[in-house]
Amino acid sequence: MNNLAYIYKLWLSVAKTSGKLTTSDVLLAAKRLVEGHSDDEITVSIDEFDKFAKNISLDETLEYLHNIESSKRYVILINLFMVIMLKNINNERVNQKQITALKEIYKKLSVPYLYDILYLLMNKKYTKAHKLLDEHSPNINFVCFDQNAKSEINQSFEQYQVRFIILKIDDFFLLLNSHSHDLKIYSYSNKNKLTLPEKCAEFKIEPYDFITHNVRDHSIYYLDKNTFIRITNEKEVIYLDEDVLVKLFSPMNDKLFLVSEVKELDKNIFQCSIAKDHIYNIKANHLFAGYSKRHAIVKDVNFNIFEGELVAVMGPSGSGKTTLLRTFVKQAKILKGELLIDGEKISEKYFHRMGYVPQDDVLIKDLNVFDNMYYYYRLHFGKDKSDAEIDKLISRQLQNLGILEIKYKPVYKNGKFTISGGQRKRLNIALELLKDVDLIIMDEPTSGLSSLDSENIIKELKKITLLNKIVIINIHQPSTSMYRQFDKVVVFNEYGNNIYTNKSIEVLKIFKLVKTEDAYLFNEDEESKEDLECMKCDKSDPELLLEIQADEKSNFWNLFSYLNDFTEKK
Amino acid sequence: MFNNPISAQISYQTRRQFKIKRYERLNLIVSFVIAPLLAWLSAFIFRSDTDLVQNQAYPNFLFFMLISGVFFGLIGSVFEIINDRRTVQRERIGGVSIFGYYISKYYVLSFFGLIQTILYNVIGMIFLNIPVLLVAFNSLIMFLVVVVSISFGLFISSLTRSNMIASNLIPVLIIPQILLGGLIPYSHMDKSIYMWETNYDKAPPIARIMPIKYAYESIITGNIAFTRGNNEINDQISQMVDYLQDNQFMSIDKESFISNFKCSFCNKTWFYNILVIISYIVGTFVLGLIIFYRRIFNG
Repeated sequence: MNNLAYIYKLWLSVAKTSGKLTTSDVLLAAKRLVEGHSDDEITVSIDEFDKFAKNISLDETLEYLHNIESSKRYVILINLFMVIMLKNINNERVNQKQITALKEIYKKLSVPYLYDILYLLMNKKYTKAHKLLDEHSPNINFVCFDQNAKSEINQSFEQYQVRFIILKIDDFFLLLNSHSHDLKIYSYSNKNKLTLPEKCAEFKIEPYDFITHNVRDHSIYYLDKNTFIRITNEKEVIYLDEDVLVKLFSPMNDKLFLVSEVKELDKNIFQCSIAKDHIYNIKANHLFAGYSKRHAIVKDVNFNIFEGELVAVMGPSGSGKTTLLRTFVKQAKILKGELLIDGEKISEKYFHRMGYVPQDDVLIKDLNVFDNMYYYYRLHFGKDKSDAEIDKLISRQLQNLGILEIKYKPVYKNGKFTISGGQRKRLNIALELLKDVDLIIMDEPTSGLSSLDSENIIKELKKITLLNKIVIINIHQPSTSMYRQFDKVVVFNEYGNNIYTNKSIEVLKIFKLVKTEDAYLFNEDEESKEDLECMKCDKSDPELLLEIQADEKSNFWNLFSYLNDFTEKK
Repeated sequence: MFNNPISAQISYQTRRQFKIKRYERLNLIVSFVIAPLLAWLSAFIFRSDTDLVQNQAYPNFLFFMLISGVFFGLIGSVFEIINDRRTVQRERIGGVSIFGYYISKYYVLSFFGLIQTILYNVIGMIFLNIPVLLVAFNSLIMFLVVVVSISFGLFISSLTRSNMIASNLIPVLIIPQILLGGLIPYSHMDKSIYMWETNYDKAPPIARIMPIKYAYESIITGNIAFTRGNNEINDQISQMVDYLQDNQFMSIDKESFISNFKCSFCNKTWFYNILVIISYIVGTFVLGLIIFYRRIFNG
């Protein structure tokens, strides 16, 4: 039996103190407890763990934990805290029995203060946590990166959208993510022993060489030598690797616990603040847009998009999806409201950080794939790279998008395209990636493609967002698997009203509710009842969005918009 | 923006345009074959005598040479921008200059126009025994006509949204130039084409807006001016001009023509007309560019 079985036993002993366990308890625990374990380790089913747990005592488990590496032990213990606390948060109550059991385990493993420290940290009581650590545990220290924390010089870090803590325990570092917006950690083999600035530069050139790890809220991540954290705001990108962390926790800085103060002390350690004009956030506030001053095509659009998000704009034909996308590149006018990039009104100064791919293929038919890309690069960047370097760059982009084999193929020959629709879409994406833009806007990237090609394109776009880029697409009819890739969905009705914007799963949930109510209230025929039954069986097909939008008979959307506004105000 | 200087952008745009043209190999071959073919055809038709001095149809050859220039320029340019508009719109977002794109079109189309001009004139020289100096001058005027036609073609290409509309506009630009370019005497035409003008000794106002008229006037007067040393040719061409002048060919008053020594008049006129053509080129370039900017920005 591997580590996970012992972890499971540990969790079970704590969780069971509160009575009956549900499937969701087990799933939640399983998700958190396998954090930081490789796929090879996670091979045993929960049934087997269960059998194992019955045959082993808690004392044996604790003894096992005593004997493993301290870094692993801390990861398990803190994960245990997260699972228990998360469950309690979800239930909106604190289960004292579980907490007592947890504290007992910490006591037996000679870390009696751990619960209190973690509790204080998660509740943003950093000063108290620091005092407690000073009193009890010289082997633990922490630095806090908190969007809301204020230092003595009263600097807020709100714009970073992060709240995480770096714990230094003995000589290793753990990242405790309280609540950060899509925090990502990257690992890199670093065979050439690159310094941090070199790694940063490499990240810009060869981002796909870095493995991306998403760090969930309320989880812990062990930071090894090959990993680094990347956090951004609208002004800068901060990279933290082990070297930086060692400096952060150096003895002379032992009183520090806020990132603002750390930054004040040694600006050089954040020397990788390279992308000063990086697009980090896009926000629309009651945006009305169209082509003439008198007629708005899209109305009252509201969204808030962050880097690393794949956003789908959905709605029926003629609802203004394309107009919204064109507003970004000034091909449609803003009539009312505002469209903000990193808090500033959108302007041409951001254009070089944006890539816009219209619905039709925008390729030069009379050139081959390589020449299309070569001249696209040269026109934007001039002579900053040699031909050999550009060749390499082009090959890499094509390779990443799986179309390297068409590198020297003509786009068009003898009156027909020689590369497929999917390949052309990918090539269009590759052109934008050459520019290393932060925001890619694609108008109907899947139109005219087979379902397989469409799914692959969406997967590629999702992969791009892992490089902290924002991708906004409009799409008419995504499949379920495509829909799952979206982080956010902006929904329009047939009149161009932005009726709802939220995380994709939330949108689906609310539309399900809408459907149920709609069917129940307005269409009480047999067919609708069958639909209703199907809703109850938890069908989660995004076509639902279209089905509901297509119902032109009901004046439902106005009512829905009204109710939505009303609820928000409330 | 990406801070790629405009000079570098023009250079890469031009290279890209050349590569595109090279890719259309068949089209390129056809256009290079057509020029000498048309030259041979018109030289064959307008060769009343193998001796240029005795060739009464030489001005007609010159006129159709210029019409061919209009044709080459328009055909080469009128579809160019329509198909590229979306590409330019996309590249503009990344800071790629619209001006750079537009001027590179000029460079490339003019280069191919120059080759066609040379081919045309070389064939004409061979068949009509035209002296080298006149061939050089004729080539210059024809080239200017090609460029002004490219300018018009790109203007139309910026203005229209479809190839169909653009191709329908080609005859609208070519036919009036044939009719009012000066070869057909204005006295044979309906007087209403003079509109407000009462002096029928002058070219009618509508003819004065035709660039081909200035080119034809320039090529004829230039031919006289450059053959001053060769009295036979000079007289022959002068007679033709006199013939044309009697029919109100010249845009300048008959009196000023008579009061001046012929050659000094011609000396002035060919040069003056070249300036007019150049102003046409500049004017249509600017206008086309403005239209193109509007089209790109307004989607």
